[in-house]
Amino acid sequence: MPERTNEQWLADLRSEGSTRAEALSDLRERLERGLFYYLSHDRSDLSDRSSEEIQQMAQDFAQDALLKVIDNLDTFRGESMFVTWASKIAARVAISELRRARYRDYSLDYLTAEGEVMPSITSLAISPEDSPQPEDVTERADVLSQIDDALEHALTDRQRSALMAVAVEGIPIEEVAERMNTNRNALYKLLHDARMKLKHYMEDQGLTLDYIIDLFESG
Amino acid sequence: MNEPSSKNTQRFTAIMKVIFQVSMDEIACGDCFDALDRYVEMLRDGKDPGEVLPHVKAHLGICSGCDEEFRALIAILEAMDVTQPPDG
Repeated sequence: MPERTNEQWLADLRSEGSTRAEALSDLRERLERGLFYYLSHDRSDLSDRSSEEIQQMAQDFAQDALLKVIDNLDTFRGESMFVTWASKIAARVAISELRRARYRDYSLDYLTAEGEVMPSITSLAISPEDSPQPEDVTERADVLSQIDDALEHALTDRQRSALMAVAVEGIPIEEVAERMNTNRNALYKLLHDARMKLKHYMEDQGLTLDYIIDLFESG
Repeated sequence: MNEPSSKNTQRFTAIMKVIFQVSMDEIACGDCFDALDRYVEMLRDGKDPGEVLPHVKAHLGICSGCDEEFRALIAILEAMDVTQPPDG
């Protein structure tokens, strides 16, 4: 099939009748093909699904993506090929929907609950598998204590919870944002503020990145 | 010489890097997503998109959510190349 130019894609999708139907069908078929490949080759979390299930998922995601593409046609700026831009939307649809399903029952309440053991950045650095030099053991403990102090005093509760959820627990940023009643962009900025505050607080205490890396990475 | 550090300690140092390497001129997820199609096309054309869009490259290095979308887009586009039906 000859490739449409960006202008042809936009014109066909904005037209009516069989021209529009054909353009929609062509786009849907390509998005389905791309999504099927992605879901069956790049998603280890779907390795237990049958080919038919994956095909159905690809169809569903392609259809949802198609609706978003049509709704957002006016935002296409022609900085890339139309199909690339549409595929970007399809990638986000697929990943968002898979994440939503995976984290459906997940709650962040434990991060603010009384008496709960909080996940912590510093506890990652205390591992029975590590065998630091004896002279480093005390120094490491001191540095971790300083980092704990920074986390306690430099951040708001909200910043600390967000940082623990994203950095330590590895919860996807959009899932954390939703549970904190905000959006992904705002949460990124909140985490950016938290990182700035921590960096300045720790540097004021004389802690530098080079020093920490030297102390904790292999020699 | 120390033994190699455990996976968790590597995660700890990775988090420390993300904290200390914070920059005033980072972009957030919205701006990264807006530029992602351009970024991926440059990559697929054999160019270095990090030179033209350094803020996107930096963001992808620290935001696993956006990085996942970036990798998915590459896979989807490669599939379209690979499985494109022959003109007939």
